[in-house]
Amino acid sequence: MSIDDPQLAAKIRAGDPDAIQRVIRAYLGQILRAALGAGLDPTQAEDVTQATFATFIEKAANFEGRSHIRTWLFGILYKKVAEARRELKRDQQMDDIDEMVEQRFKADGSWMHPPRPVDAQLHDAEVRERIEDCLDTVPIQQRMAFTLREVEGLGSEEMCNILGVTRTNLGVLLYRVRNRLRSCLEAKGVRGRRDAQL
Amino acid sequence: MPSCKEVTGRIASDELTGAGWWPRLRVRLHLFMCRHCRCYADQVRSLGTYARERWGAQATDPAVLERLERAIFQDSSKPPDHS
Repeated sequence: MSIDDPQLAAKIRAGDPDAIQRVIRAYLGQILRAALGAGLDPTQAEDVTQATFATFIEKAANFEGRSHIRTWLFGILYKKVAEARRELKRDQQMDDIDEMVEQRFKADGSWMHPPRPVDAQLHDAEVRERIEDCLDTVPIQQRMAFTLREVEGLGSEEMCNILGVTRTNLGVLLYRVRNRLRSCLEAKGVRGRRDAQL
Repeated sequence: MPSCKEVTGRIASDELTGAGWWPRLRVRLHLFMCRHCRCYADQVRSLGTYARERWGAQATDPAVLERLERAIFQDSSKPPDHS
């Protein structure tokens, strides 16, 4: 039986141990990676991953198969991460990054404070260290959106289902997280190998 | 021609994913002519590259996955807690 078997949903619902084991093996790495990407430390990420699959096993009888099993798992993970960081409420408030971005442009939409040139030096150890700090300041919903898109490569529809947002809201989340990370690194004066700055 | 603000907004919000050829062409033309927006686009792309390298590698340790899998199965075999 493959993970894309059309009968998989029914088998999961029936509590078939083989089907459940197959799902766990197929998605364990992805869920752990997303938990780490969401900003949890390795121990917390492992705990949340374990809790995600515990909920999956517990609620298996409720899986109707209307969405992909991966979407369901990421949805459980997202709630667990939000619980772990207790930040969801704060995330839904107005974001100061919008104002910071506004201030970089003139009234006609051209740059007032353009970005400093960088030669794609984001792989340097110096930048690695600083981007971790920057990611710690990003609210969880934005961080999950960033991880699901950039690390897991999920499409918009699946991400909207996981995060419980509309396509427009997803665009706002991605817009904010990317601008926040970019601005944070720029403020830290990150330098590249050829004296370029972010 | 879209402004710098519009172009960077479309890039950051993934608005061009699935967009038609005309909006994409307008943004590409703008990027061709504007070094600041090109710089912005490179930086946004680099953030994704960094994230993939950082977390993509971290979670693939087979020993960690094996330990977790064992813990999940042990956990699921416990009798329900009615306390």
